[in-house]
Amino acid sequence: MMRRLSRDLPCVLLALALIPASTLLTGCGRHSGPPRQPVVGTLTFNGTPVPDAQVAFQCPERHIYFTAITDQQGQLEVRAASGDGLPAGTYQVTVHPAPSDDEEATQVPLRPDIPQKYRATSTSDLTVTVDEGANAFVVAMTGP
Amino acid sequence: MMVGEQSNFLKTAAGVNWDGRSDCSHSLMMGGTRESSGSGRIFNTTVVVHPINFRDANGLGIQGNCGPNRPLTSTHPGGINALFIDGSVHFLSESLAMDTLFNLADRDDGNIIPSGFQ
Repeated sequence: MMRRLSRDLPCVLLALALIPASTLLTGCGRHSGPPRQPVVGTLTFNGTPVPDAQVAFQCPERHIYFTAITDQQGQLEVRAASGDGLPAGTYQVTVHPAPSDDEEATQVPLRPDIPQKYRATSTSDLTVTVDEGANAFVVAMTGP
Repeated sequence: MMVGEQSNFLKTAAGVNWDGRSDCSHSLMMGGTRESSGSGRIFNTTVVVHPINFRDANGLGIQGNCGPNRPLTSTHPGGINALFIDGSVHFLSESLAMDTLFNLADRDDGNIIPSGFQ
């Protein structure tokens, strides 16, 4: 096994003073992690909704990595068995074609509506900030 | 750490059990070689990103064929068993510091693992 080398990204924790330090030290993204805030959104490319995409919300500093899949209208909602939504904070966002279980697939679909730059944290300039309470975003990609 | 346990189901958002093992339904021995199709699939290997006993199937790098970041899980309370390269077996707590978990999973980072790390 090896560790994925992740860029150290600035992940700003909001309402820092309200959260005891012990909460931070026990690690994020676990069942006992900080409370999740509801997160819904729309993914667009040049203003057009993008269906069948996996949107990843990443905060390496706090070890939080959750994804959501867009529906046919490009809508997404972050849902998980351990709790829906995301802990408050700022996340870098990457976008990928929705994962497929197709055993015979040998090529990743081209998906010109998901430009390559948005598929890696090193090149994606998308971020969202999750606040206490309900959150609704438009994740807007642009490109040729 | 050479081999880590993956022996519990993950959960979908709806709470349904989901097989999140890195063999991806191919059992123990398939994979590790480049196939004639050129797809070069490797099974029974994971890159540690999520905490021990992370069980949400919507975590990054888990779904699809075959998710590269499937977590180490068990049905034992509180952690997993792991086989180390020296042949010893250790119980790793799910409260293990993430940096220590990464250092254990990375064979050549050069970092020192603190004694009593489990």
